[in-house]
Amino acid sequence: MDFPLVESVIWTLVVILAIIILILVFYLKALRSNIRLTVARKIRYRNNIEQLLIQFLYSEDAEGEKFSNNQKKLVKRFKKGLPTKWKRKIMTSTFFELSREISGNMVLTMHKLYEEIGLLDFAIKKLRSKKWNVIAIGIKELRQFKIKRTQNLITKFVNHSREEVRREAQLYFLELFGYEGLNFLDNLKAPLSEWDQIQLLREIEQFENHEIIEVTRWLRSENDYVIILMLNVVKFFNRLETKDALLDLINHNNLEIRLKTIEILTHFEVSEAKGILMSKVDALCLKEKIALLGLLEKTATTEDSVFVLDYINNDNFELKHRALRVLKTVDADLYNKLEKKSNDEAYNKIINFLDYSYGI
Amino acid sequence: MEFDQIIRNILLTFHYFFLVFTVLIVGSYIILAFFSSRETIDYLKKNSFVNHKDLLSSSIAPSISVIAPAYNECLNIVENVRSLLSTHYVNYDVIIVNDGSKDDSLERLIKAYDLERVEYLIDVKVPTQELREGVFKSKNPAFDKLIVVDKENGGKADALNCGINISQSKYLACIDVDCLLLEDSLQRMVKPFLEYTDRRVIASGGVIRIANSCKIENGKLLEVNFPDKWLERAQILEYLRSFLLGRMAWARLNGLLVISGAFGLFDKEIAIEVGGYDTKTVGEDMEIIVRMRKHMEEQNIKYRVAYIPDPLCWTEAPDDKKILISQRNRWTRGTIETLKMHKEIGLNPKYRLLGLLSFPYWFVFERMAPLIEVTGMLYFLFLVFYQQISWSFVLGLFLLAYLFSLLFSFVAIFTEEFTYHQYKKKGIGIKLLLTVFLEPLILHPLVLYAAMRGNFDYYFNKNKKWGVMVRKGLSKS
Repeated sequence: MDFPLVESVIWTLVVILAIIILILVFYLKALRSNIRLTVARKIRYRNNIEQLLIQFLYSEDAEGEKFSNNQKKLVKRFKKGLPTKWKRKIMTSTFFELSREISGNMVLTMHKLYEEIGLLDFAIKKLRSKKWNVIAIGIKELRQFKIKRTQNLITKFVNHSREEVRREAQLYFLELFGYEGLNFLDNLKAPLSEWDQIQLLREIEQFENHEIIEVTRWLRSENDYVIILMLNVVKFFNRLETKDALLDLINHNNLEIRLKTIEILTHFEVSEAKGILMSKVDALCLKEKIALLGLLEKTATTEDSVFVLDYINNDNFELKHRALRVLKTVDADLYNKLEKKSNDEAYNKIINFLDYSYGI
Repeated sequence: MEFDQIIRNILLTFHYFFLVFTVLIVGSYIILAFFSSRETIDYLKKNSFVNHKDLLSSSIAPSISVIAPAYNECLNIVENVRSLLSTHYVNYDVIIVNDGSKDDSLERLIKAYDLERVEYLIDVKVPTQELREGVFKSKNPAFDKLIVVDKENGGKADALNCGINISQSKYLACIDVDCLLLEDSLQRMVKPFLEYTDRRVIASGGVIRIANSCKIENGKLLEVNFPDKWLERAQILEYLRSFLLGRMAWARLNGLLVISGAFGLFDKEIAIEVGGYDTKTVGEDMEIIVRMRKHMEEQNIKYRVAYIPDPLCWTEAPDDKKILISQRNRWTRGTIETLKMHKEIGLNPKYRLLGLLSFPYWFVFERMAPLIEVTGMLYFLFLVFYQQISWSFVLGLFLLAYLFSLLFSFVAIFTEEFTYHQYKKKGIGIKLLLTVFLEPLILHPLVLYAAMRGNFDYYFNKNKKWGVMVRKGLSKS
């Protein structure tokens, strides 16, 4: 059987592919060499920039107000690299890395240099980019070099559609304005992922403890993610004075918030929470019940033993375990009167564990 | 209709069947290459200004249990555990499940890590084989992250289930004990679970890299080398193609059906809800992902199976044909078992992308492809026998198939060069090129043979389970 058309298509494709592959063979060779050369060139340039920077920092005038003649010459040398993107990138990262290793006036001089040679303008220009990653890099640079006067340009990015841009903008405000920077939370419409929270908390944890004076308003935020972030802040800074707001949050619509609240109330050992939760126990979901028994482990008294008794035969292993543990702690007499053997294997296992082991 | 005409029609049907299949498979690879490049670029952009180390000092970093089943691993177990314990993460523990080893693995661990038996309250959420010696923890605070469980033999899936019962963490990192994890692997793997607010990430998988010939000391990868043996080289290329192209593309489409058993991170709550690993299949890594996805679809919860292209997990590939065939035979049986077990998903609109795209694709281009290829070969022999061959046509077709396979290998290599560029040394380029040209002739016939053996064993040798997987140990590479 002959298929002349198919055959000619096949052979045409073979020729095209063979040519493409031949090109790719040479391209691969060139690419690998190019990668090696580029890496070496970048290392050389980085070393060069480092040396220039050190020279620049040690060529300061006694007054330190204006650049010395030597510094002006060095500025010209820095500027030579500006038109090339990869050189700008290396310059920015080298400036930042070095600025973390120096202190005092030198940091200010370095920031002045960053502005003088035009890197600041490039960073601001990035904020006008259509590419989200370029905007995020721009904000990051401005944050790293502590440029406060661009805050008006950055405010709009707090609710940007890309979480990476939002995160950079939020970190900008926290890192540069400290406690005041938290005000962006008032206008935050976007969600905060767990990753965002980790980053923001890391910044917030750097604040001086006394700086956090008022978090209650954010515990009542309409944005659930803001509440969760603040709950983490409350726990980290031990803001027990927010107790009333926390007790209100036990009834919040969002399960995650309710669970987090119970966790924090447990951390603070707030016994009022126990009563509120016990009074609506039938409306609680399994996770909340487990959290409640966790709270009871810290706050229960003999009076609670009757309540706890209801859970020692629960189908859920963790509830049963926690209930028996609470009972053993608060009412040893009642616990000792319990049947030590039952048809429930899990019950026997827990009893055996509580009675005879010092394990985990 | 005359007899000749009937034969001609049958032959024409075959012709068109193979033609359509070839066009579909090549077309799908082109589409996958496109999606994979989009996903890789996006990933690199997203992570270019992320500092994963922020997790290390975080008070809210989620907890992870690293579960590593071990069976007769006495040669390297102490070293491998040391490597796992040196992972850089703030909130994790390492659970080694000694799955009824007949050697002295447990004794070596007890001695090396100063272990003592402890009482441990286990909530058996997934049924497993009984414990043998019990649960061990170290007396030395330096190893307080280590938990060793000794149980009766039940296979890898059973051992992982035992680890799930022991774990008290939010996430489970299920790994092969002989894999080498880079220090920041948990930081990177857990990130997808933390960054979505509109959907739940149920699992994340990572690229598996081949560590044969690499320089490894004290459980740390010091130098990436390209092996001398062609079989190992060919597998490196195959892994690059599979992980950097195929799986990245499916991750983009949120249609991943498999996360390698060598290293995967799971949401423990969902893993338990679906009943843990299935102990009846040899493809437990694929099966649990399919079951978890099916569960999420049935619950109508938005979810994602994430994928990380960073080279985080390095493992030893077989350097022997027999072991390679045994390994691929098992993979084939695992695929068949999983697809058969969940056949109701296929073409079922209820399961949306999973039922209408991932599952059928896997069935046609993974499960059926070797069978179709062999049928094609037999058909070709038939034509040769009856002298129905246009040799120019055949030669063109073979060349075309060969060149397409080269093209996709090149795409994988360029992806590697533009992104991670792990094979930096001078001279590796030419070896890579040679591998590209020889791999279809060296590895593909073996893989095809193993797949056919897998099919045969699945239908006619039901008792066959894991098969032999002899490892030399990474530290000796």
